[in-house]
Amino acid sequence: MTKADKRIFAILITLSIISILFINVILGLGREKYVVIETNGREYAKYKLSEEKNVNTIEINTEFGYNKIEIFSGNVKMVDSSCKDKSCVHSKKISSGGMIICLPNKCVVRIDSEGSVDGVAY
Amino acid sequence: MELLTKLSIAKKISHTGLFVALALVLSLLESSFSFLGTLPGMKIGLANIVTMIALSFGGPIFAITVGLLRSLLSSIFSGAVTMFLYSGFGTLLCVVSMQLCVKFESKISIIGRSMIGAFFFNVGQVIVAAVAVSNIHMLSYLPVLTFVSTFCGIFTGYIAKLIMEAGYVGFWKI
Repeated sequence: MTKADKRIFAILITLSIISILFINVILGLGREKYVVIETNGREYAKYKLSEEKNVNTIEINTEFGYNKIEIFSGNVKMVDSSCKDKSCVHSKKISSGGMIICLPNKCVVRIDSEGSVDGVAY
Repeated sequence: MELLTKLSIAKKISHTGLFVALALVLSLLESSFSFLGTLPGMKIGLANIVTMIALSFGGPIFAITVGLLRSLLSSIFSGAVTMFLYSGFGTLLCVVSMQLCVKFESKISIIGRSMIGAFFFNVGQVIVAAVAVSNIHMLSYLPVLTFVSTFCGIFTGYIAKLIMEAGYVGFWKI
């Protein structure tokens, strides 16, 4: 490797590291997460999944029933439901993926992240 | 040292076929390595070795011909013809940037050229991807690709250097 080669190497590596840091840390691109609430297969509401500690309570009232979810420090949990079996309330909190489903009330709470890839074909 | 200009048409065609076949084998070989394929579009770039040698053997037009034919055929063989747009545009930018390196900066050796070529290949890929999905956020993918491709560029550049030093020139004179 000549001197010019080493300079190119240094420029490319520093540029890429700086821009990776810039994109991920400062802009926070591609890490935006949303809590999507669906009832009866349609989108009911969409909230930003904030990392803040204070609890954000959302009540869902539809013709199928009543649900209450809490968003806190990057987690989502179903805290109350009008359904009989309460399996949605007993299900674990979700943070990065997965979903909470309340079948009797036809309510689905899932986490959607921006820029996520559904599938890749080569 | 553009040796190709001295050859007859028939020899030019046969050399193009030879280079395309070589590049095709390498690109199909590397698509079977999946350890780098954690991100789509991430490859070692073994076929770029052939592009670099084609550039110094037959000049930019020859290298672009070889590169485009290689991307077309490998995208047909792998079953995803849209890949041709990505790697075709990437190859175009790659060859042009490497040729500019040869012309204006003689201090850059083939390893440096390889790094620059790999970078511009990624630029082309990402631009096409951003246009194809009409999402400017695709460009945020470029730094990650550049980081990996710089190391891959050193690797392929070193192999190309070894091949050139081994005197491939004599071999082609047959």
